Amino acid sequence: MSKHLLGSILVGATALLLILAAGIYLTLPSSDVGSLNFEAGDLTVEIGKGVGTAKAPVVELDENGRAALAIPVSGTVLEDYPVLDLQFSSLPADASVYLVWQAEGRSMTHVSAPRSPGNRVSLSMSGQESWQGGARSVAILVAGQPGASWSVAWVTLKPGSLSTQLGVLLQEWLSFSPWDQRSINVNTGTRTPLALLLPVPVVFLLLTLSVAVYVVRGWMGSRAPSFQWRVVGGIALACWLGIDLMWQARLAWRVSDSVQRFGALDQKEKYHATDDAQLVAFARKVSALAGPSDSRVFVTSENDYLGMRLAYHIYPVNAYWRRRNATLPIEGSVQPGDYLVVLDDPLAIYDPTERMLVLAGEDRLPVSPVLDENADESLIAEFGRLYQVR
Amino acid sequence: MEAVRFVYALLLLCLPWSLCLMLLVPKSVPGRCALVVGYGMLCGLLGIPLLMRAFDALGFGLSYFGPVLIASLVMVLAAVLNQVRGGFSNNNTDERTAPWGFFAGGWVGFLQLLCIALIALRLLNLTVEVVLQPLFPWDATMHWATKARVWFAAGEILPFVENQQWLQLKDAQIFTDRHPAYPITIPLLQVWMNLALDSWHSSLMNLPWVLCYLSLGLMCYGQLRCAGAKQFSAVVFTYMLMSLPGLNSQVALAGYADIFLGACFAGAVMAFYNWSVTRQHWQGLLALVFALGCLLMKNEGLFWLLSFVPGLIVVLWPGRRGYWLIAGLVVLCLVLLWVFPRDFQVAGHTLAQLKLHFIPRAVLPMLASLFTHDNWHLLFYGVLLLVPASMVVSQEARKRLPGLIVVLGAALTLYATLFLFTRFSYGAVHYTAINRIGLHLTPALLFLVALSWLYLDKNSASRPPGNP
Repeated sequence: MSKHLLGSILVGATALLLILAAGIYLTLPSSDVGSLNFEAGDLTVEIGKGVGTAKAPVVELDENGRAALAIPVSGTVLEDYPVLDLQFSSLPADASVYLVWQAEGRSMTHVSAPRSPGNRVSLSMSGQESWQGGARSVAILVAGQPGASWSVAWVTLKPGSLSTQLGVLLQEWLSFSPWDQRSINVNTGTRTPLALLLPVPVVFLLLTLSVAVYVVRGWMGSRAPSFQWRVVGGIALACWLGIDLMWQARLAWRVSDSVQRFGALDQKEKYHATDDAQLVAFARKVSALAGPSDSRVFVTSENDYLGMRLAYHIYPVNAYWRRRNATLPIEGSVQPGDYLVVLDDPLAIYDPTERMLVLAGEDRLPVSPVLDENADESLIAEFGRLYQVR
Repeated sequence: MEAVRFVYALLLLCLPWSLCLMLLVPKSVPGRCALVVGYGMLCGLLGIPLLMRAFDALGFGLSYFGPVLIASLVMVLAAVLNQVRGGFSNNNTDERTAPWGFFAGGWVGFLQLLCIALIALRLLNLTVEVVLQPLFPWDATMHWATKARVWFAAGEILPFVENQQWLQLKDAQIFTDRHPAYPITIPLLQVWMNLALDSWHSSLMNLPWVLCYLSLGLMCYGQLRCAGAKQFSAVVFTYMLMSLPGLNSQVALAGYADIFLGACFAGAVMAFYNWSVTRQHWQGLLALVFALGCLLMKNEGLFWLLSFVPGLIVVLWPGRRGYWLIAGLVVLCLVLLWVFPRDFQVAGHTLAQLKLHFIPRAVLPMLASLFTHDNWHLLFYGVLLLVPASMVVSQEARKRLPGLIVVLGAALTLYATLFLFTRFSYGAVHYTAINRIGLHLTPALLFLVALSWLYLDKNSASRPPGNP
């Protein structure tokens, strides 16, 4: 039985490779172009502050925590270069990387570009509808802590060749990115949503081809044994193991990432190693002020994530936060002594002359600023202000 | 001291209930050890929060020692009764040799060992992840751990109400969050772990997620052995279940209730199948307890509980009569949906809120989630191909599987209705909920796939050689 099993899988795998190679080859662009290589000095700072030399620019994130370097590819036909390779010289651990571009006659588009170990980014752009036509602009955008700096070693735009596309595909399947908020909702099996092919349908194709080989061999062979579901089961298990080993490797990489981030920290320090670090510090200040008085705390924010996370860290103090509703509750719901945390809410403006918080719809609440004086300015700049209702 | 309390708290989530189940499950049952430990653990994950609720309702608040006292008494009593009834060993020779049987030689032995090693490695990885990561995922901090934080600090279960009601009440002892009406089992499990530690620990409080994952694997192994699977097949399918990425992510990023509901539903479905075949009372009891347990996990548990109704009809009235009865029930449900007032509530949502109509843009994301994304490896191809194949090829499958297929078919129909016909299609289109809700059903579906394969294999093995 093991002979049938291995033979079927080997022939099936060979057939699969041929089909994949043919499929990718047929979708390659027809034009004959060479790679476009850019050194760090070729790139220009579009957002943020350039602080390095002209040959080796180092970019500092602006006060909004963003910085961008433009790649000089104006007029280049984008679909001729379906692969982008990028090597950072330095990049903050908590920074997010995006590729932002605009083709002529199209709107601006961006994709998240998770990095591989070694701060390398490889993107297959074949699946992007808007990566077509003459380029107006292409830039690398980094988001993170204001003031943090990063730099690029080189960028290459590669023409589509069979080996390049297969290389990027393998990298998509076998490289890793840390857990994020989407991880619990969906797992595509690839590092980015840009992969040319997803592993599950490819492995299922391998399974189908291998079973087909087994069945055909059964029909053709004169001394063939009867059809055994056990062989089909063996082929399915082998395919399952193949796809699962990729997932297992991803899981192991994420565990080692967690060990590095949290392994040496005690319970109270753990949140300092997350994106919520400043939010938690701010929430602790709010809880310390509001907690002892049994007061209620209203959290308002245009950003659902920030509002929800802040409210969570404020508990067990009695907190109020409402999803998809940044505005503070109507007048009459709050009472003297209640606290109001105004995060990035442009509809709530404090009038210092009358010591009133002017809300959407011109409602006015008499308040006292609490975290204005002696507060950590960076916290206030990042999140917002705390008021107490008079 | 905290470490001792903590380990004992974990132990009480498993041992007393497993010892009780040992009294229930006959000693000759294959896979008995896995069965009683797996079901016992899940029973503890339901039972300890119920004890906490009972103590709180009696005015004792949320304390560590109350449930410890009762659970310890149950444990001692069950241990004594087990001893009186002839000790803890099994009569099943296969079971007694099991530890050595896992290391059988040849390809089968190698593959079996590989599967066990992969399960062990994953269990280790997931445990490390849970122990290290502070509470991370979205819903966990939006409406599950919010309650745990408040109740742990207050030492009692304080009421949570809707936002609007909270604004009107202006009471410092009444709280609000995004979903105040969700069942409270999950936050109570987090409170339980924190009570044992005597401090708020946003990582270790999530260890029940690892226990739930382990219990799911053990239940699957035990029930497959009960269903006649050889040790090798049972190990392979247990590995397949425990390798599902959608399941692993829920453990690694602990804090959601879906895995608990998935385990409860699977526990009930697996016991239901074996009860439908053998009519053993203890299997029926397990099916009933865990089907009802679904209600304690999430509101959707009501739908999965209802999906047993048509399955039960098929089992109790096999043949056309049963199917006519189900058709009548479906028509009745559709008529009721038509005539009921728009403000009639189903599992916390009014009919008007559900906005029942076909939403075509959710079809492709749903298919992608099941068949092309790597949420469930190759599971849904198995559902699509092996289940019909077994019904066509194997007479035994045609006789034994219909009840199970109808239960899971009903559940899948409700699942598809939720994402293709209601406003919750948002969760499919943006992939925010479709896989998490899918996790409620996938462990049970894997059991169905395993059974289908077993019937196919049995069928081809029973044919004379050279007869395709």
